[in-house]
Amino acid sequence: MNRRHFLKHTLTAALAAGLVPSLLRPSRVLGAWPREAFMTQDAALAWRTLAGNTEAELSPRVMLDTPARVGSGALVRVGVATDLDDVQGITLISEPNPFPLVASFRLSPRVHGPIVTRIRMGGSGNVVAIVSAGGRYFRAQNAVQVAAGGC
Amino acid sequence: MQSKMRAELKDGFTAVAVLINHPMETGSRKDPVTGLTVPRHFIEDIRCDHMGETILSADWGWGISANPLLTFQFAGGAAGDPVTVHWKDNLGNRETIEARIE
Repeated sequence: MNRRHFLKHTLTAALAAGLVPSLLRPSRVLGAWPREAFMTQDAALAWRTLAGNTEAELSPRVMLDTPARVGSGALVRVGVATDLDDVQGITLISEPNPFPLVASFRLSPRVHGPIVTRIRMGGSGNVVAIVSAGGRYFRAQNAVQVAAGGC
Repeated sequence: MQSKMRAELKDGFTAVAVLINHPMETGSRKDPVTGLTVPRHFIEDIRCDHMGETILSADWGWGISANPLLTFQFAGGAAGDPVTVHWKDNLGNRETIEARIE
């Protein structure tokens, strides 16, 4: 077992046990795309895989902008803004998707104002935005009604 | 369609909008002609730099829509500065898109 393999597997095991703070998650340590989190088919588990067993508390300081209903889930505009200080990242999850983790952004302190992108939704359900700020996690979620899934 | 990018000074911040030409295949779509499943093909890493500093980077999955759009704002840009976006997809394709701040 080489060192990289060892590190990765040790960290994964530790993560599963909730022993590693999120900033030391494997994707950060090894700089790799977080395959396991993207391949996870359960929204809550995808988040825990990404962030290491941390809960994100609902916060009015995370502003999530989505349409209330769309005809097609192929193109759903999502905007996330926050007035929290010391923002490090934003994660987007679409709960009804077969693979719920959509994107995870890392932001420099110079980023200001909303981040907007367009996501696919597999059906009606919640879009969740989780902001990491000051070493803690805050979330907002919006229900979106999707007439025809776009996954 | 070609990828497009724009960086504009607005209220003291640089507003960046990038539209990328990419199919973002989910891996579950069937080709209507052949009936075969189209393999997953998506941008997995994207990064935006200004003057040697990374402003924003992200891990993406196939939940981002085809022809991805990303807009955000950052502090500290000046007219004429180059802003670049680099992306890499799961098949190893890469693109660098550059715009000057207007």
